[in-house]
Amino acid sequence: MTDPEVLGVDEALEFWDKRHKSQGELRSGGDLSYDHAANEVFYALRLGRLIDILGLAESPPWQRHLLDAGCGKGFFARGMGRFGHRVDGIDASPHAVEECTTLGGVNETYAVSTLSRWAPGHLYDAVYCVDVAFHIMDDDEWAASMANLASLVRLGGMLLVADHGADEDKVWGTYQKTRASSRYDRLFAQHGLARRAEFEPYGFRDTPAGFHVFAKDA
Amino acid sequence: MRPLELAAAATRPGGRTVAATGSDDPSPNGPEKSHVGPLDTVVLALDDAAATEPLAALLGTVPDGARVLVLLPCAVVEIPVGRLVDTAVRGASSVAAVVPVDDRSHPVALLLERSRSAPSVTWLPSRGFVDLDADQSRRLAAELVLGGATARAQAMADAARIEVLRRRAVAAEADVARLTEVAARLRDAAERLRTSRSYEVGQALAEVRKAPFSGAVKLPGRLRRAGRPASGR
Repeated sequence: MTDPEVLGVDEALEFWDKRHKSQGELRSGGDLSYDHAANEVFYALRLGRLIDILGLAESPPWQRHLLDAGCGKGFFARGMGRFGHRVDGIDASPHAVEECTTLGGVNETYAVSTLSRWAPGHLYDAVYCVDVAFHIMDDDEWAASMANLASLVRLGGMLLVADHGADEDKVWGTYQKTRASSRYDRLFAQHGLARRAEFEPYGFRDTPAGFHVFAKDA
Repeated sequence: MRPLELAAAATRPGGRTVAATGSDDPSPNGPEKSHVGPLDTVVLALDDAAATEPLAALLGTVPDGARVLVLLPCAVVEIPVGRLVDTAVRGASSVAAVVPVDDRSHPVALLLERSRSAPSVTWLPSRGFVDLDADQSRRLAAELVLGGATARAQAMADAARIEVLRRRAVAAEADVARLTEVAARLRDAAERLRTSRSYEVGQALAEVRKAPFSGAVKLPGRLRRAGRPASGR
């Protein structure tokens, strides 16, 4: 049962679509406590962390196929596309995806979908989910979303999910709930994923968020 | 090939084709529902290719050696590769083949084989994959079989779409050429009419009717011009 103090699955979808309509490019999916300039730096820093972890498209002898799970208005997908990766971006907000499609480059494709329901006819070299998992308030939906993302990674591929690095669940408000690191470990282990590195904090101002980095070994 | 013919072909000697518990196969002489043996092939039709829970449950109950023919309600390009690979690997099963079948509601079949031991995939070492454990072999083979099938189907669909567009382009170019020729003929006809004597005379008389005085003043000149040869204009 969903806590009445937090957003349910449908309420959350509506909330984010409205927020993407009403807020600018960066604040709509960024941190509302930051102004545009601070969000600009925050976005650039996270894109840099993604590139650090996933590498450039030239790193392997082939172009990597990535999934941006919960792409919002597409900042990271466009960034990874500009670095030569092929990117599929999905988001539950039709408004955000429409904007992505308008702004997107040749390396990107976008679709409206929740994280739990995306079932393409291919796998990904890497799936990343930036600051979306902790906005899924419903635990069943969160588990279904994470399990689905895990199933979309090819053998040897990577899964990056942003959350806090603490080992406890915590509700921060009506639309933010962080999960314990060990929950990610247990859930992803069922899908052949093992932690590849220690939790990688963003290191921006005082945010405790960062990337959990997993690789598919089996 | 029809699903049951395929199931019969996939069944080992001494085995039977049986329906998965809960599967509701309406076809005459369809598979029987009974206890599954290691030589049997179980037929399971999914209502939603991405909702793999019935398949996961089935793989948890069939014995080693048994095969499972999963009928999918989608085209090959739409096969949810991730979900099916994951379900097969977690159910200690190998993906042996993806086969289009002659069935409107379930046009694709997936043949799985339950086996706790590492699958014998002879072509993996030749592709550079060595020292894999059972789950890794299963996953890699499943990824290559399913991913390869969807990629080939996508490539064929893309090629078919390109061919349709190419034919439309050729037809459109032919239309353009034909219409250009028609336009040229009409332009010529219009020019001939504009420069014809009868046109000049007609115009002059029309002007006289409209404005009798000024028309009559201009009339001699117009008639003179109409009297000149067209090539001299």
